[in-house]
Amino acid sequence: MIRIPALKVLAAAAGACLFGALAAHAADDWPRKEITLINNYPPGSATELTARAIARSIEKTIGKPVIIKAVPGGAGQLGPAELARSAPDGYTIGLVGSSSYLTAPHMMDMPFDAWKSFDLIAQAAELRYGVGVRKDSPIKSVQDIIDQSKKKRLTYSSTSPNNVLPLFQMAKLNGANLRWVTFAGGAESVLQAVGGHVDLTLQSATEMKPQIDAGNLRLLASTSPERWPDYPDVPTLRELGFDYISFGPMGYAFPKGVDPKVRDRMEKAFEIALKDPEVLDQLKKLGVAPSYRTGAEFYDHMKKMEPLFIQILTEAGMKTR
Amino acid sequence: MEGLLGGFATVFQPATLMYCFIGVFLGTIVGILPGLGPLTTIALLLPITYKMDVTSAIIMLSGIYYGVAYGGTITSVLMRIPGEASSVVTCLDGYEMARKGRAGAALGIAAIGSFVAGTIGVVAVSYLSPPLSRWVLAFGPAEYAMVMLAGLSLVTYFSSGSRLKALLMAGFGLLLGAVGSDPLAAAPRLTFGIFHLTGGIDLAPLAIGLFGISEVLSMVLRKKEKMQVLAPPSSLLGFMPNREEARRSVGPVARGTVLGFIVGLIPGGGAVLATFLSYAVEKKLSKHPEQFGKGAVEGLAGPESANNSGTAGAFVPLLCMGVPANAITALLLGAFMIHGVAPGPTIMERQPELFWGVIASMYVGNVMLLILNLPLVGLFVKILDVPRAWLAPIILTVCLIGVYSTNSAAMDVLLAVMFGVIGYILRRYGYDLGIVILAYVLGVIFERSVRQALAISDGDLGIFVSSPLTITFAVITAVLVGLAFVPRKRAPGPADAAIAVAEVSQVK
Repeated sequence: MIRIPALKVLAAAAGACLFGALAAHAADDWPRKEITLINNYPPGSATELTARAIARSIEKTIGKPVIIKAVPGGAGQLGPAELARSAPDGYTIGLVGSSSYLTAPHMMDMPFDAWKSFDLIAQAAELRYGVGVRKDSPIKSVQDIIDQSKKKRLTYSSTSPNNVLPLFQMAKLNGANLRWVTFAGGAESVLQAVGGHVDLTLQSATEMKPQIDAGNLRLLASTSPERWPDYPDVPTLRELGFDYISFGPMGYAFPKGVDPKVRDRMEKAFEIALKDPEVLDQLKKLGVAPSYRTGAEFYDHMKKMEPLFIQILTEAGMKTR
Repeated sequence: MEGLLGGFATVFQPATLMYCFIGVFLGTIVGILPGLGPLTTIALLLPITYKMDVTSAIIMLSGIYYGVAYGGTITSVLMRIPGEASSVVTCLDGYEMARKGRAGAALGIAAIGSFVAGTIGVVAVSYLSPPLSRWVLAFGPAEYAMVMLAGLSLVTYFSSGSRLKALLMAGFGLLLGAVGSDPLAAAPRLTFGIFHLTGGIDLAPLAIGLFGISEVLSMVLRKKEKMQVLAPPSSLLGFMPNREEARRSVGPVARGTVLGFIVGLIPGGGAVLATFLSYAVEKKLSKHPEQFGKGAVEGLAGPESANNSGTAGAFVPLLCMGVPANAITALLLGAFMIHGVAPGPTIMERQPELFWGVIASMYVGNVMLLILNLPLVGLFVKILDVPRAWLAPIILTVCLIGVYSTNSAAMDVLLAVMFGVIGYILRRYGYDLGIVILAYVLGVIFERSVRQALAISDGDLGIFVSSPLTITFAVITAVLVGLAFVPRKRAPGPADAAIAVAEVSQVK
């Protein structure tokens, strides 16, 4: 009666030792092969270009290639969903933005719980956002959005529930009548506004800049806390008296359960990347703000922002879950 | 023009040139091997290209696509077995010419016609793409949704064999595309509780299963028989058409080129449809329609040109809009996405070296094919002697490795085998598998576009007929659906005859 459990314990202990030994071994010779980085938006999007720039530096640090795999869709949640169900073997990492923690879980049925599914590596950058219209649009200012939408419902294109927060708040608090149309990729989303299929677009600087520079798109306001460095004359929403912002920190993570030593080495690689002059130069060209936080700091930052977001989402009528 | 020169600079790098050569060479070979088509080959090579430089990968895969049309001609002319669907029509008059001792002239005319049409098609692509990519701005969600619908109707309508079967396959493809997570709200559906399927069915297991593994199964179960090959000419001079044949080829080549290119542009069009239409046009215009089917030069020259310019034409919607016109370009779209390139109006500005490199490679590839094909016909025909007992296990191994290496997931291998069995059964009963792949790729874009359009219109279906473009596509769809209820005329047209040939050779 007693011997069987004892045997079981013994077996379990032996198993644990063996597994521990294997795991330790795995951490020592990591990385043996290339790393896959899951990105949540299609090729050519701001997040993808940012990931590409950072990946080049990480490759130099860890000595193995980093391959970027695009998993777009589901308002940016299909990528983290795939990351969450990947094996925590140290060879799959992915972009986990603040939307997975702060907005999406309150708006849609999520196939994963971001707070429990990941071992965070680091925060690398923050995207700048803005709201724009096509060049011949009758909408000339942010006030026009509110005034004109009261006569006729306006539509806007955007990719992630995080970006669209300011327009939801504008609708709720200023009586604007706005409708969000989700697109999988930022470039595609911006082109819909240029082509006149939607009235407004709210996207990152990286994705809007080529069309603004070409004269096809007018930037009405920066929806980030600061103005865009490339267009210093365009005010922020906050300066115009609307205290709403798009929040866009880009965090990266392993699936939960990865060897802590592997996670630490990857965190170090990100830290080095965010000091690499080449990376910083590329991010500047993309209009992305470099902003490094350790994995733990990113998690705390998210936790700190959560009550505020729940309040905003509730006020804006976005909280449905 | 500057862009195109840059493209040539890309292609003439030794490594790129080599991949271009590998592409067209493989294309010719799979064109010769009956059954093994460009879809199977591109699906097989897709995982191998993951680690290649993106420009080289696309250049190689494209080379297979347009190289196949050349190879397919050889077996059509010499054996009356179409190596590839786009050469089916050539079996009619090409083989008859060969039987009359004009095999060399038939191959020569086909190769020169292909070269002329391929080159003109590529020139047209390079001049049409820039203005077209600006025109793409007119496409909003409603326009995308309607062009997909019209495209799917076209494919179904023009498919060989039963329309009901084609419709079933389109439905099957759409259903497969819907497996996984909802494209807007991320909710899992049709996953049968299998965790792996929440990410959807990947292109690699589906394509490799449907085309590669099912092909191996058909190979094994096909009866052994000695193939009859008419002799190709032994010297280069033997490929020269005589004065009469040359004179009669000029018109058909020119018409075939233009027709093929236009058909290639249409979603659901592509090379196969172009050959049938060209054959019908030539027969109608000819002063001697009674010669058709008995070795008419026009019936060879027209379709052989049309299939090459059709191939070039299909690149326009792929590169400018990211919309595949047929199953092969659907696979190429997959290759682009895997390599982190989103084809569409911005590709020319963002990745000019890729865009123009691929176009320039098509010029170069066509020259390679011309040089490769004529002198080496005798050698290529020998490939048919490779025993199936060797070929089948090699292909199966490459299939399974390819599928596994994509995601290192055993589930994908299981899926591929499953699709292999399904594909074999469907093939056996005359279902067109190309439609499945096209519908699978288009379905995702279609669903997303419909839902975006309805979000814009607040649920009003009127948005799908609200612009000249949407109305045009709606009318095309309505006409095709209406025509589908009209029974087909029983006067046997060229398509029917060619289909009969194709079916006979399939059964063998």
